[in-house]
Order: sequence, then structure tokens, then C-alpha cells
Amino acid sequence: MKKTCLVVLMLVLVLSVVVAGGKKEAAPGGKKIFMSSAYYTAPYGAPLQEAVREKAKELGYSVQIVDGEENADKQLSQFKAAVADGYDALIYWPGDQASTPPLVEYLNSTKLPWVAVNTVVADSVLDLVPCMIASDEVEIGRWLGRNIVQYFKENPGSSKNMIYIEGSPGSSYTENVTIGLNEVLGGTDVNILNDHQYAQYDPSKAMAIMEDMLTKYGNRIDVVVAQDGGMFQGAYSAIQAAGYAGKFGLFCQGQDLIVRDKLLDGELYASVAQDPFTEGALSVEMLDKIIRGEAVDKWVPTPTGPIWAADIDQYSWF
Amino acid sequence: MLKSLPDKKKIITFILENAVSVFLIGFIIFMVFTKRSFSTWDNIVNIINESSIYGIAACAMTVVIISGEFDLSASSVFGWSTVLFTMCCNTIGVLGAFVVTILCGALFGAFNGYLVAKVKMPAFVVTLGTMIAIKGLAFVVTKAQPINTDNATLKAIGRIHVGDISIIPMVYVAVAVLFIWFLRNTKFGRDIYATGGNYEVARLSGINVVFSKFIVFTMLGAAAALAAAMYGVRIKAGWAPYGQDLSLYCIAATIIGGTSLLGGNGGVHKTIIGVLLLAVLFNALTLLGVSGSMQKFVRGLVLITVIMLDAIVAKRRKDR
Repeated sequence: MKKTCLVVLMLVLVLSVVVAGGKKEAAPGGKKIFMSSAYYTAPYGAPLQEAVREKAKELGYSVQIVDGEENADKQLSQFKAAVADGYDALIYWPGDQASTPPLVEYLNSTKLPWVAVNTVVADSVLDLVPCMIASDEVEIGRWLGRNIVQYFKENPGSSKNMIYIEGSPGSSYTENVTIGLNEVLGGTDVNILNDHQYAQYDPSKAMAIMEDMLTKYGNRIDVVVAQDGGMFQGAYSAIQAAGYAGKFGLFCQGQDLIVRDKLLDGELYASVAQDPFTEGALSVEMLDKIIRGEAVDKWVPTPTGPIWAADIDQYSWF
Repeated sequence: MLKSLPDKKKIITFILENAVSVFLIGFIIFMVFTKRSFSTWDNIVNIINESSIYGIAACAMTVVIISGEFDLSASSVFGWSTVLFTMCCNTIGVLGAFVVTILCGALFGAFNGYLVAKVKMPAFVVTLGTMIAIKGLAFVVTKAQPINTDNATLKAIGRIHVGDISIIPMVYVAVAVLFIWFLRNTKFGRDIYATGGNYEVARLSGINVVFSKFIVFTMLGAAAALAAAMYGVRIKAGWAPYGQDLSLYCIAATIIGGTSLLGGNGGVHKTIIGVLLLAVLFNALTLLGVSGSMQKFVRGLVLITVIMLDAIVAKRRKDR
């Protein structure tokens, strides 16, 4: 009997959570925005989604954001449910480029205002997107490369060996940043010691990769580059634990608080800006313009550029 | 008064033994009155489509669980199969793509089945290993890049609809009916129940338990590949990470449906209810405006609740 009561209580809990959770974000009367985020739980996702909520509230919209779990099929179903439920506008954060065409076609078929954010859609449907809000990922890679070139100018040595830790294989961000980095470093004598090493934006995986690299190359390493702040933190922990702190030039992209602290400490030479707050806010601003029938650019870039210790006050940190 | 007591007990027993169906019906009624958009035809079609792809694999996972085993590698077989299917669509055409993809999935399943049934390795270890290896293979073959296809025949198949229902739910229904018939009406189906119920007794009874276990893994491999081909029909792309939640989804749907993880009982018809419950729940949470993080919490709560119900029902049966 006790167990039965417990089960009944659990069911009541489920229903109350559903009802309470639903009520929390509902705002009858105003226009409703629906966002499916493929990277809902990623460190970059949280501040971006928070910016979407804040900007939507500021502009008088209610917003619901759901986890697309990097699954295009799930995102398609979520959008269909949102359309059935009468949402007025949609924000699409794709997981990968290849799966975007059916979703772009569906979103256009709804005739609702919509924008895509962060992950660039496939080239074949890029023209069909009303507005793409994303950073120039290749340019981020170029800035990483330029920072490294500058570091070697300021710290000349006999070798220019680099360890490079990438994010997720196949993601447009990972691929494009690498393209930009190689573009700049291609004409120099900087030598990337390792083949592709993917830490999937996971600090613990980045730490394990860095430990292996230290075992293999040790003092031969001159600089270490990570594609985001979380992976930088993992790599830095390995470097510190092995007693190499301060011996390498360290670089990453990102605006999280760990990056900020390491820039201030002088342990990180430079970072590259990609602001999730700006990106999230821009996506709602552009959507608002489309809703009001104003013209918007097909591509709205999220600003990027190098961040030095002296400039940190000019940026938002998360 | 005297007569009403056993009736009450019967009702409680009925509710407990059919708790998932009762919960599903109750939840649907709750949604119909709470959210008008829930009962629109477009949304019903959306729920059916949403549940169909993973539902195909869940049917086969149920058979594996009835046999007393489980398979973690179905996710990777799915991911690999989306890649293979898309590549084949771009090279040898859609018909060849279906054949090659399903055969390859069956081959992976057979490999798992051989190691578990014949070599007697634990399914957890075997399928964990193949899960990692197959995903790695998909990354190597594609150089970690997602690929897509513009195959005209595939697009035409994707456009086939009967009363707004696409071809995918039809395939799901066909697969489910096939599995239900197979488990209920064939000797081999009954052998699988016997193998899962008590392996040693089944073996001593003359049932080919090794073959039973081998074939259920092979069927799951083929079904995961077929599900991946259906994903290809819908999304027209392939990538190694696709379907990474498939194995756990299928296991969850099977347990929620009422098939015991210990093997020997349950059925595909129950899993269909489990798949439907998950689809209705996911859809309802979105319609009710529940945020992404809260959705995960609720889904976990439902799973725990159903497992508790299952334990209560099992205890009541034992006490009787």
C-alpha cells in the first residue's frame, strides 16, 4: 500500500511539474516565439538562450526554448508541435549542416517568421533562410592563427611547435575554425605536432588528450591551442599537473569566466571573441524585424576579434 | 458491500497491471482538455511520425530483452546505417541502399549475437565494445563529416503520404505486426520467451538457446538499420552521432511498456504503448511550454514511476 501511495504521489508530482513548468513560460496575449536549440546543454548554449529570453521579454514576446538534442528529426517534430500550437515565430539552432535542408524547407512552408542561429545551414539552403545569425567561424580561426603568429614574433625560439585541440568532428564550428587557422598558419613555419584530436568540447577529454600530448612531445611543445574555453581549462589542468605551467603559449576562443581569469593571470596569451549574449539577442532582434515586416540582412554576423587582458572589460563574460 | 470489495480489488489490480495504458489514456484526456492544439490532426500526425523511427528499433529491442539480453550498440548501428544509407543513395541508388544497409545492420547484429550466444560473453561488454567500434568506423569512413543526399527517388519516397501519414509509420506498423505475429504464433517466438525465462531449463528442454539468442541480436541489427533508412527518408542525411540516444530510448520504451528487463515475459504490443507514451509525453511537454531542462526531469520521473509500478505488480503476482 505504501508503494502504491508512492507511485500515486510520483504521478501527481509529474503532472504538477508539467502544469507548473508550462505555466511558467506561458504569456497569453502577446506573440509567442518558439526556439529549438540543438545545443541546449552546451556551455555556449546557456548564455545564448538566456539572452534570447531576456531580449524576447524586453520586446514583449513570450518564448519557449526546447532541447533539440542534436537530433534533426526531433527538432522537426518540435517545430511541427509548435506550429500546431499556434506559435507566431520560430528560432532554429541546427545541430549539423547536412541535416538542415528538410528543416529549412519545412520552416519556410509554415510561412511563419523564422531565423537560424549559430550553426550555419547547408550551402544548398543558405539562400532560403530569411536571416542567419552566426559568427564568421572561419574568421575566428584566422584570429587564433594571427594571435599565434604574433606570439612567436614576441617570443622567438628555435622551434614553433603547436598542439591543437578541436571540438566535435563534423560540426561546422570545428571545421571552419580549423580552416581559418590553417589559412593563416599555412604560410608560416608553425608546425602542428598532432593529427586531429577532438575533445568534443569536454574539458575532461581535453585534459586526457593534453596528458597524452605532454607524454609524447613534452618540452618540444611551444604553444597549445584549444577551440573553446572549456577545453582550454581541461588542457591547462593537464599542463599544470605535469609542471609545465608558464612554459607554453596558450590560446583559445571563448568568453567564459575561466578564460577571463586566465587572461588576467597572464596564463592565457589571448582569446577570440564569440559572444553568445550578442548572438542570442541579435536572433530575437532580427526575428522582431521580420515580424514587423522590416527588411533584414540574410547574414547577420556575430562580432568577433581578439581579446587581450587589457580589453576584458569591453566584453560580456559567462 | 461484501460483493463490492472483490470488485474494488479487481479494479485496483486491473489498473496496476495496465498502469501504463491507464496513465496514457488519462494523460491524453488531460491534454485534450488542457491544450486544444494537442488534439488537432496535424499534431496527431506529428506524434505518429515522431514515434515511428525509433519505434521500429524498439520492437526488435523488446525481442532481445524478452530473450534476457539487451543491446547498447543499436545506437551506433543506427548512426553507421544513416551514413551507409546516404552514401549508397548517392552511388548505387535507393533500392540498393535499403538492401545494403539492412544487410550490414544484420551483420553487425549477428556479430553481437555470435559473441553473446556462442562465445558466452556478457551482452553489456560485447555491445559496449561494438557500440564504440561501429561509431568509430562511421567517423573514419566519413572523415567525421555529416553527408546528405539529393537522390530524387528518396525524395519521392519521402513525399508518399496516405491521409497525411508518411511511409514511415506504415513501415513501423508493418514491423510491429510482424514481430507480434512472430512472437505469438511461431515456435521460434515461444522459444525466445523460454530462453529468456529460464535459460538452463529451456536448454534442457531441447530448445536451441544459442540460436535463439544469436537471431534476436541479428534482428535488432537489421531493425536498427531499417530505422536508420527511415531516418534517411525523412532527413536525407547521415552522420555517425545520429541516433545516439536510440538504445536507451528503446530500452526505456520497452520497460515503460511493461516488458521485464529480466526477460521471459512482455511483448511488442506493450512496447508500442511505451513508445506512444514517450511520444505523447515529449509532445505534450513541448505544447505545455515546459522548458528543455524540465522536460528531461519529467521524462526521468515518468521512467522511475513506471519501473516502481512494474515492481509493485510483480510483487503482487508473487504474493498471490
